[in-house]
Amino acid sequence: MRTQLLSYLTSNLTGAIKPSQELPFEQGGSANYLRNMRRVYLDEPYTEQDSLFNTLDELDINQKITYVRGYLAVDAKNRNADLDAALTTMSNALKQANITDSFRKEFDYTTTMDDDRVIYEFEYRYYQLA
Amino acid sequence: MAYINATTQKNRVKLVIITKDDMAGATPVQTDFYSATNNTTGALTLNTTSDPIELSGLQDVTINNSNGSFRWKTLDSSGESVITTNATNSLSGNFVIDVTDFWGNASAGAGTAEKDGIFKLSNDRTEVAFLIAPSGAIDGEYVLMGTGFISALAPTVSADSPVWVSPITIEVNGDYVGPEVVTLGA
Repeated sequence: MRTQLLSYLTSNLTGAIKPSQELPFEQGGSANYLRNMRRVYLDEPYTEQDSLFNTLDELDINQKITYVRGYLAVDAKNRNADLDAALTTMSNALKQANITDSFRKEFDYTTTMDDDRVIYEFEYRYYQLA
Repeated sequence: MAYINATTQKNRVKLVIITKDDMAGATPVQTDFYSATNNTTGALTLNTTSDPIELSGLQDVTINNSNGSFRWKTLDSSGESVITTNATNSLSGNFVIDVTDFWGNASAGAGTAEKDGIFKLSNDRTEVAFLIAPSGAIDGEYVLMGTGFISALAPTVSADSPVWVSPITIEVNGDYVGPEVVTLGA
């Protein structure tokens, strides 16, 4: 799912804020999204399973939730002109990225302040039958 | 105290349905539904003539045996007298719909439960015979049988739970047959 999201973001985030093909790794104690501002980093997906229906014959039906987290740091003092458009594009990626086998999709983000940077931590969640 | 155990593989609850026309006699017997059972796994060797539906995906089952009552008062007693009358018997539950169980199996014998599927049996108001094994159909466990009609189907699906589930009730015609102890295991 990271591949499809990244593909969509690469095609649609073409302003000052762009996606990076790299994972959000750390180097020298500092995350790369803090060093490279205005770059969107998508992390490796991870999954968890929840029960949808339990049955008496162990034909249990589960849902698999795939999480893809991402990070973006921008200047807090001078707000990027295309920040709103970039956030809209990242939100649109939820439904418009080519991910067709999920029955529920969710996206949200939180912001935190780190010195003179605003860090957007966002998360895509895809629900599939497992 | 010994619980009725439905937790292990061999003790899984079994609900098996055939058409009443496929019963060998006037009342249902275990061999109408299966010819043998596996005491280790609980698997049933289903009767190949009556082609039963072994309903899969059961979420819960309730065995209803609700007697009516008639009460009367007498002048020589401070409490009412009572006698129970005819019972309303039914089996009810919910199940996750399996395509073959619900719509039928085209390659099964004509007029059998497996051929018609749960929906057609209900829609056509076909009288069925059933066997319920509360703790598996293995040697020494008890089963109940009976005849009746399938009703209360209400298949439903939602965006949050995109798998079809349905309640089901078998309105029992008369009394339950049993409890009978399973002896066909091996």
